[in-house]
Amino acid sequence: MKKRMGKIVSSLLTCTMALGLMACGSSDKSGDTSASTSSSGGKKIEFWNFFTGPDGNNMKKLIDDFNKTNPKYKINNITMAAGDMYQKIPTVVNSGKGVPDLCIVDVARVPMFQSQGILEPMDEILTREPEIKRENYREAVWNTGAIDGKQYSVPLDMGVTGLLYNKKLVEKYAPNVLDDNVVTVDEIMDIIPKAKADDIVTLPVSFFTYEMALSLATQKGGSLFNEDGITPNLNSAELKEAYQTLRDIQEAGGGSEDGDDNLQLFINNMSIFCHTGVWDYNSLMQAEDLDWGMTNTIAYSPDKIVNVSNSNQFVLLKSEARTEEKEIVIADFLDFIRENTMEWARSGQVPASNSADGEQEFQHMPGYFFVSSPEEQNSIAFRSFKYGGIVDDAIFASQNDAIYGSMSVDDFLNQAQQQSEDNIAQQGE
Amino acid sequence: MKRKKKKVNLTHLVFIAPHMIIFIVFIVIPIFFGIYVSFTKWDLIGTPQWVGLDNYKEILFNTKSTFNRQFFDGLKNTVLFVIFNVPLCIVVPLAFALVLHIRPLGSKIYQLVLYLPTLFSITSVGLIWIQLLNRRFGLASVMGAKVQWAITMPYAWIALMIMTVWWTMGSNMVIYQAALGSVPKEEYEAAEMDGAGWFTKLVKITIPSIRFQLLYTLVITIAGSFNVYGQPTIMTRVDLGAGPKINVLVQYIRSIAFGSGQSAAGIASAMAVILGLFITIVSIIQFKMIRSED
Repeated sequence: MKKRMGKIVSSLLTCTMALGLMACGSSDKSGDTSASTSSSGGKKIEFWNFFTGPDGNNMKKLIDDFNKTNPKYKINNITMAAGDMYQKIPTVVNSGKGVPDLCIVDVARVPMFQSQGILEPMDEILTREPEIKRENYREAVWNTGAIDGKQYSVPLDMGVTGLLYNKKLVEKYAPNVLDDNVVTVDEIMDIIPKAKADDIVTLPVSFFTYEMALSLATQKGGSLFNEDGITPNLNSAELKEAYQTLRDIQEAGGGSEDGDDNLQLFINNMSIFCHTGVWDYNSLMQAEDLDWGMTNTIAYSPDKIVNVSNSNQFVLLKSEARTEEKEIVIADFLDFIRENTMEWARSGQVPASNSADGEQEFQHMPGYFFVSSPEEQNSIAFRSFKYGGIVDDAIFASQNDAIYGSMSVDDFLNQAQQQSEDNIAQQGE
Repeated sequence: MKRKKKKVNLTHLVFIAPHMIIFIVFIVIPIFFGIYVSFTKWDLIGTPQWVGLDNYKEILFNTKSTFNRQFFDGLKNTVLFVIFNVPLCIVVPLAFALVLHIRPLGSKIYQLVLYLPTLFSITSVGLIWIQLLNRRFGLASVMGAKVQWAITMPYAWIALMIMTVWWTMGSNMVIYQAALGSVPKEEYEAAEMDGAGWFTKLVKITIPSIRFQLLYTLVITIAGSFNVYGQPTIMTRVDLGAGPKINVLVQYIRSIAFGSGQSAAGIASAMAVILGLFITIVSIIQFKMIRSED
């Protein structure tokens, strides 16, 4: 009898543990999101984003303000590292469980996800909120979401990258260099010997060196892809010239040493210029004893300026759980963001919506420079290609080796071209 | 004559069930799925497309292919990591275990300090060492070593080894300490009476007495070293705009499967299968060694 009892108890124990495991498994599968949805009786819009920096506070404020308007579904702000989010997306979309109702992705992912068939067009949203339309946004960034005659994204911001300048150091080493708002490559080369003599970096190598190189290549008519938009063109003469230019700046002594933090160099008054994104605004504002401004990316000639940008965009991942009621609230939320975009501008970003353009506060912010005239707006270019991510990885793998001289520019770009072609060949029919 | 029905006792299955469920769900199924994916082209989204042995041919024999270059570069760096790391991860903890075994003053505190890093995440460990070895304001710089440790060869390898040994030695050290405690004191006393010095005692008594623990840690350390990922990713990638300076095979596998662009999951799985086979072969050889010792 005792033995039998023991068996029953152990069987029950095992079943309980197995059920526990299954429960854990299912909650993991659906991600963190399912827990918050069920706890609120399903009355939430799950919104995934990667605003883990200071800009996260601005997004939180926007969401809190929207939730105070008593929408039928509240926005549930789920912030995670971009890498984690992009890794989760295929899993949730394939399983159909835990798919976010609304998601932020960078502009380069829009054509990629659209080609993989995991994006829903935003037609319903645009129909419900007629003010979410091209005319109320900056045209170039709106167009990045238009694919095959349908709108697959609504842009949040422009994600502009440009050239920071230290006002005191510019005054000392190159007093007239900003007269035309463009610092040319020749001017950079002129500044280097004077700055180097005082151990000052002219233009540090940065996370956004890629954007600088792309800008230079675009100024000469180059592009990452051929006209078909899917055949990589990395070993083009234009991109070679662009990377060679950056290497020349480095070899002349104008750059930072490998491993240096470019933004820290700038914040500590140790570099005259620094190429970065407008979203570093809050970090820069906190720096003591730093008088700075922002202007266009370096150029071969003042006649042609290009500012390469990484816009953040709202998208709808394919999901059967997104009801019509939810779509109504999503449309309301996107329109709320459009109207109240000044809060997002406070993160340093240049909003994609033009509703903050009349605000004095925005006009006094450094990012405003990039939309202050039609010429500036036309200078903004986006990386929006089906295989853009593959090319980005191929460039990032070795670009610093090329700039610091441990690999020739030719070898670097030929290798990147080969890597891109091989990865694209791995994609199915 | 009626044969008595033999009773089948399933109690043992009940006890192993929890572990078996975890093992099947999280190990066996992913392994078989991974092997299946290695014979396909798949971007993790659509339907896998069967390509037979193409991925393996591409990785192993197409010398013009990026995947061939990445595989052999990753394998070379992984094997180098194993060669450098394994002896250090055996010898250093053993040395500390031997010192702690003679119970110097404050030995418990030293034990705690030496074991503590094992409890940290690799991210924390990486950030600590990046700061310590920073060329401009790190401790190494203050002490006169003003090099860019994380990205200059061969310093990057040295930095990687220092960090790995510091992070992992605690667990091996505890195993050795427990083993040393069980070596009979009489053997040392007898050896001392015969005039044996500390080195003779170490070689003739201590090491043979703890050989099973040494072999066990050797197997575990080698298998762990082949799977290295976190240390080079964090330590030798100081700039987010650049790839790591030391790319081991698991890094390549991860970047091929989960890069910024469309995944080449078939190629990544094939590389993982080859790496798995490699580790299996090495482990079989080691287990045979253990059995022959037994």
